[in-house]
Amino acid sequence: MSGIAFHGVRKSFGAVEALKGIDLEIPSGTFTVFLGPSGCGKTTLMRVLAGLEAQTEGDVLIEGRVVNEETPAERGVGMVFQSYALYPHMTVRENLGFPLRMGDKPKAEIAARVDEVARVLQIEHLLDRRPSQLSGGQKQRVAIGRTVALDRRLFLFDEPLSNLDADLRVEMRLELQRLHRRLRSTMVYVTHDQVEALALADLIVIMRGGTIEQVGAPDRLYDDPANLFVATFLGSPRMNLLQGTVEDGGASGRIRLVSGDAIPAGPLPLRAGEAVTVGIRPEDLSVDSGDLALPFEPEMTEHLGANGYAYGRVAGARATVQLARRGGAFVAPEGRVMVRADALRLFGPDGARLRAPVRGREALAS
Amino acid sequence: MRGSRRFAWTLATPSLVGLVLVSLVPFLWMTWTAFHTFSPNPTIPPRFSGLDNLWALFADPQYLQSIRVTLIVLVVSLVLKLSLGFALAWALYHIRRGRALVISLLLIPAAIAPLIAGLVWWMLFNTKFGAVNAILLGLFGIEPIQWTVSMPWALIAIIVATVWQSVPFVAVILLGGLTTIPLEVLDASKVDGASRWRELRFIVLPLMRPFFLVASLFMIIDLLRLFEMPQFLTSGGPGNETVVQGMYLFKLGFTFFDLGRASMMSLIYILVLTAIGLIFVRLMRSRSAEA
Amino acid sequence: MTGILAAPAVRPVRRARPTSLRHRMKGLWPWLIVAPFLLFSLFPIYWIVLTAFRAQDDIFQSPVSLLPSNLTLANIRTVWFGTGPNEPVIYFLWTSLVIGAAATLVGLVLGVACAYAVGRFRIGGSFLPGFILSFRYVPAIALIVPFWMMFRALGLLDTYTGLILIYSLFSIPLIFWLLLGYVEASPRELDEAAYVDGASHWRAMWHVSLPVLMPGIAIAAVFTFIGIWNEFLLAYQLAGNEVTTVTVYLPRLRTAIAELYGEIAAASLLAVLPGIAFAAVMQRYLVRGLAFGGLK
Repeated sequence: MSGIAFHGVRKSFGAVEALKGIDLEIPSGTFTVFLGPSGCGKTTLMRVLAGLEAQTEGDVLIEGRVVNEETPAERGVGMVFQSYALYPHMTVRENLGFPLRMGDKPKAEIAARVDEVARVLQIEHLLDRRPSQLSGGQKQRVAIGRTVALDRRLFLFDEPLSNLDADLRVEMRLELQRLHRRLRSTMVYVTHDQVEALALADLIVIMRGGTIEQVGAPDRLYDDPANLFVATFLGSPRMNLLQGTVEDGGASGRIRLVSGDAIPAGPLPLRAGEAVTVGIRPEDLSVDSGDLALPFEPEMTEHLGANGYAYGRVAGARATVQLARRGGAFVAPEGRVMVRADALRLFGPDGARLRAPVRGREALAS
Repeated sequence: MRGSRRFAWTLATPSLVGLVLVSLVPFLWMTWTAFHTFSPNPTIPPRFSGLDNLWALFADPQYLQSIRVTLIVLVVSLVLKLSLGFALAWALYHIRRGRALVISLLLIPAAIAPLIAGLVWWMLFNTKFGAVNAILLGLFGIEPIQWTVSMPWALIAIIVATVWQSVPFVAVILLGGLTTIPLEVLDASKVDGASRWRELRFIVLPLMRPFFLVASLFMIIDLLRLFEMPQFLTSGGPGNETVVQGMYLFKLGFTFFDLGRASMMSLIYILVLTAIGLIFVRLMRSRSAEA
Repeated sequence: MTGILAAPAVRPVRRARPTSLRHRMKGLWPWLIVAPFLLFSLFPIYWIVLTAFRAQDDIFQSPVSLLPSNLTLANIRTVWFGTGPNEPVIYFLWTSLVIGAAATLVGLVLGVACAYAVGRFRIGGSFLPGFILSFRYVPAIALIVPFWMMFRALGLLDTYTGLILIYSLFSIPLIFWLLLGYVEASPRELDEAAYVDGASHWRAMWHVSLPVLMPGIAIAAVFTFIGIWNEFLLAYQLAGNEVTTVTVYLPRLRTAIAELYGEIAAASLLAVLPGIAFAAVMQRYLVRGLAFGGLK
């Protein structure tokens, strides 16, 4: 099996357990994103993969080979750091050439390769400058250049875009995608920004508190979250959550929301009286199209140019509704919102997703 | 606010006057003295003698000897202090727990009077009753060395004592320098395939240059100033072979009362210090333009 | 492309590496370097303590034993309270203390004021700070002759006043160097708020700025005091009879008749105590002081 694998990887720093048993396989050639809030262990996992930290337990495999004892260079790993980590006392040219120098390549080869990399990344005019004379975006390119100068099996990116301005970030995101397409190597990327993850990833690994919450393609994670955490972490604005209890878990069951409204539900693996959370994404709430209707008390609307949102309460719970344009203007719901049955996401009392279809096209019932 | 400048100058002037009094005035007097010859007979006034004192110094074998001794001690000590200091700093850099306590203990030698350092090592290096010879005999079976009264041992004793006093100080400066290297840069060098030694040679040491310069400057100034420590360690012996320039300056001025030559010697000393200061400023500036 | 979670616990989990000896060795190597240095640094101090408490016979054995045995308080008693021709060292410690404290105080008053003036109000442009700092490297030994002549002319030889005067003036550059960074780091707005509240320059400085500068003043005080306590040349040449500091007194214990090792050690023990206390403080602020002083 080629690609990357983690088997039962644990990492503790003294009393703190940063990674609590990670099992993961990443196919080669994919662009994988480790996504999660700060402290979730994503950076630690990457550093363990790189060989910069030693795991306390478990194995790391690259291309089918256990690499626990190998140094980063031996693993064939390249890394772009959050702060770029350019060598401040060397010129750009020397920075780019350093990995080649450490590999004891002949001078002529180093020079040729450096020129080539500089050309591809369009930083030829910067070759004789020092890092302190470069802008953020330029440093970024040099960091990438230094990483690709050597043929590496694996490329790692540790939140490389977090120090850039917004427009530069978008531009660099495209650069990275182009890079991946050209090199076709396995790339692992760490970020806390779900927009970046959704944009770049072939595969997202969402982590929290040292464990993996879910692994999958971006669309799949977005549409089919495994639990409340994944569902609310992805998607901006956040998924709306309505609390309720199971009235009947049977075939013609119902969920009674806190507000008193009822939602028809199919068979649920829950007993009557157990708590249930109903999740609805803002874009799935509509003024007029859907199977179910829910009461809506509007509070405020925002028109943000391309998008518009209405804020208020849906069935008593705070919610956001994404607005659609009709005839050039945003239309906000009044009194009620509609939602399609298959857009509802149900979560049990422990936050785990209940994958049962919601049936029926019943209107509001009290 | 109104009157700010006047307030500020009121605050600063006493210090400035004091500094001028305690430095500039003596310096000017000394410059005048350097170009005059004094007779031991206080009734005969000093006469202007141009650079005679300078030529007299250059012809004085004891002066030349003192310069030679000073230079030997300076070069050897400096090399030892910088290299040992860096080794210590590098080790301290990798210690987390207990670092503060260890540094406090290591700095004790730096905090005691040079005179006492001289006295202690004088006792330690004593031929019959000193711990150094006891250790050498006990551990290595080496016959007692006559440290303070024979060459090159007396020089070595001085070097040991000054290294003892200064290495921790150098280590602290260099440790400060090490902590300015971003950890990610060190990670990057690992990822780029640098071994421990190469990381040291190509990344760490070049980035430490300004700190080595600062440490060197402090050490050189201190080494040129050596007086009490060697005075009480070897008293210049055997004979005059460990008389450093500070000691000879004192001798000229207060033992021989040759004010003219002593002043000329002081003048040279101050000029050398100034030159060294300027060189280091230049060296530091050339690097900071790049950093 | 979709990924899949590997089936858990299919493969037996292997320990990545033994957490035993090999791992420990990796963390231990710095201590292998530090330990000899610690030994080297502290052995002479140990020797001072040992010799101070040793009986004459043990001091003067050949080869000398490295371990304590036959301890006595005789040396301590001699130097603390004096016997025969030797004066009690306490007396000279007191002299050093008085001179050190007074000179530090005067130096602080002058130096802190100067640092505040230059750091806060930027007088003298870029020339003045450098000018003051350059005095740091003026070696006392080069100027000792004119000093002696000046002191003689002014009748300051062998007086408390004379030493205090020269020590305080000499300490100004160091105090200035240390405080300048602290002054520049403390917010100007504090003073300005005080001005707005109606305070004069003096009151603003005294009530607002100086309290904020206390840490810096404390460090400067400690460094200055130690420097004066340890000083020999000026105390020797410009005083030494009526006014004798402990540092000047110590060599007198080396007479032509007998090498008073024990007494020297006992006296040195007292003389190095401030230094040892100082080393603890020094560690914390040395790096900070250097950082503020800049790599000038």
